[in-house]
Amino acid sequence: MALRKTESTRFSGSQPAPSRAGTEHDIMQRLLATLGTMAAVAGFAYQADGATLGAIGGRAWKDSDTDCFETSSYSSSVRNECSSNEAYLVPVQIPSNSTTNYRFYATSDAGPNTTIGTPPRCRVLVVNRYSTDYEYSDDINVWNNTTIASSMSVASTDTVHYDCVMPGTGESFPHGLASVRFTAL
Amino acid sequence: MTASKRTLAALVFGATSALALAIVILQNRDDEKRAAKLEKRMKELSELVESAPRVEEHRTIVETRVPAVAAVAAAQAQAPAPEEPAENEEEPEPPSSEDKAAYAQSVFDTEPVDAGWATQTRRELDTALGQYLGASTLAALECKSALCRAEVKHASRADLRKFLDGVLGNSHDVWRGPMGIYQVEAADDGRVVQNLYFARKGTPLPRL
Repeated sequence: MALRKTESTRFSGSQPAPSRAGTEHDIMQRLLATLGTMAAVAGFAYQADGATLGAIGGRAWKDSDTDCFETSSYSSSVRNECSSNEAYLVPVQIPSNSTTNYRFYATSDAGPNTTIGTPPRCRVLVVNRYSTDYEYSDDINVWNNTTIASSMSVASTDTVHYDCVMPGTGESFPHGLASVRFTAL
Repeated sequence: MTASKRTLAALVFGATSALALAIVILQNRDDEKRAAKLEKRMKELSELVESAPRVEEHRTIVETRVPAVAAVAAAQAQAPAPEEPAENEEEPEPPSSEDKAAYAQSVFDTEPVDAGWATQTRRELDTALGQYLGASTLAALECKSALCRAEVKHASRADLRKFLDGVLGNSHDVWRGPMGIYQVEAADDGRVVQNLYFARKGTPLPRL
């Protein structure tokens, strides 16, 4: 299955503040509760102090590369089926209303303790609310539950993405990206 | 199942359905009351925001954003004390682009120079950034022992966007260590100046 572009994830600045207007707020609360349940069932869930997300929630950095990314036939990971390396973004919604330090992790589909083949390389990108500032963490090889950034402060108005370069089929034993995770410190 | 049991089961089912229906109706009535109350409160707040003066600050920040921020801040200053403090308090404004760049610059200024690393890294960054400059200008590029600093000037927003698309879309090729890009000047005619900081792989980016 080719992944489709998910709009509004490309550095569009801060998310609009949640509406607190009357029944709309109640409806939103109920809707979010339902979506939360569905998300948990689907294999990812947000908590107040962190979350784990399937890599399938991401998208190609460039529209022209969208068709390169496929879900694995034997796992929920995302793989690059093009021959060259391609950039892949996984948006992260920080569930906080204050500036908080977070630790970011990622897992490739190499399986536990497997360190052969070519893993994805990921880094965390934090963009401010005006899309004028861009801050990247180190570029790290992703294996099993790898720490990508040990501590990054994130304001509630910031936008956060995992920015990964996914090895293409031209690499030896290219791995996909299985999931990303973050926790509040 | 006997006829009496069937009748009993039908009665229980009917009673349960009626009870569920009653709960839904009551909940909807409650929702309507709360909606009316909140609508009234929203109207009051809207009037307050419209009549509030705007705060003039952070002039370099994108202008379309500032009036909204200023109006909300002014409204908060005039609004009566909230009934439930603490829970809905807004986060203090995060550091500005200028503050972030100034902090990184202060760290850069005090750093000693590792001549070998500085020369080689400067050359690599010059090549990497040069690919995406287009009509923009690399006004300065200097490396020390664990940090490099670049200044890029753009004549228009289109040039800025083109440069950012190139650098952000190929960030893994441009630089593998931590990296910070800050917009430090933005003129009305579209000219923009950015300061870029590149930290040596394995070392932290000086961040506020």
